[in-house]
Amino acid sequence: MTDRVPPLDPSSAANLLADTDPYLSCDDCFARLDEYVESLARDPGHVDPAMRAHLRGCGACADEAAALAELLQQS
Amino acid sequence: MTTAHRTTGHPMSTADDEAWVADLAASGGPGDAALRRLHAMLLRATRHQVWRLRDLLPGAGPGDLEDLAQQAADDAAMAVLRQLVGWQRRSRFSTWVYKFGILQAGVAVRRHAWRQREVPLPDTVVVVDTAPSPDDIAESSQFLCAVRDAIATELTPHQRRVALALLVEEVPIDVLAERLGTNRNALYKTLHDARTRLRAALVATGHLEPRADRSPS
Repeated sequence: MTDRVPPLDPSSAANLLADTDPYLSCDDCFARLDEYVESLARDPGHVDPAMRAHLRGCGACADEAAALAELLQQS
Repeated sequence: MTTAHRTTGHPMSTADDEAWVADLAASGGPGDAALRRLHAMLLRATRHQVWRLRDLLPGAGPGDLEDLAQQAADDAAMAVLRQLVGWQRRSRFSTWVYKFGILQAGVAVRRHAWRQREVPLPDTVVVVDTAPSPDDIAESSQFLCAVRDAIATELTPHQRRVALALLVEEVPIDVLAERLGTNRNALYKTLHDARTRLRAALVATGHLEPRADRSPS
């Protein structure tokens, strides 16, 4: 642990204030990820508000969605 | 994406998917072949994700990355077999399998990258201005000070530490979960609740517009 006080810049402030409603858990995101990524590959206009909000607010899940989409593109 | 004829009664699965899943549950030759196919597919996903994230591991060579990919594929294979009955045929089986490999590999790389690092759990922040002009700086400072104040007054100590560790210190959520003895789900819920409180506080002080589709309570 450290006593260093970290800087709050506009980018991290925006991330702290991200609107992540409607709520979706990481587990539920993972459960829907394959279907969501395939749907987006078929139709780039596909909309799933809960998935979109979650991926906006969770960097790890967003990275996994991007990785899966890339992998499917290469298939 | 590959398309295959649908003969299974499920919109996204193919006859090949169904045969593969059936073989995975079988013993003997067909089961062994299905397992080898599963592992090969997972290894493709874990190698893809490990190489995508290789910049997080600046000291790692190709052999280290391959070891991580192999271990992640082994772990992902166990997870797939445990959850096989949970495949609901809403995607191709291969896509469903890939996501397990990508998850395991991502977690492995992030934890490896942080294994020697201290995980900061700050309780406060200092405002930093990066606005391009003096007027912008004044406006930006006022806004950032409002955010800093809301962090200090509106969040519980736990929400504050989790939100600042994840979003200001950029600690990966899996790493923070491991260090705190919790899981990704719980940390994301804490973060979601913290964001809701911060947004409400900034709306109340006039620093943030309320969402158009919400009426005041």
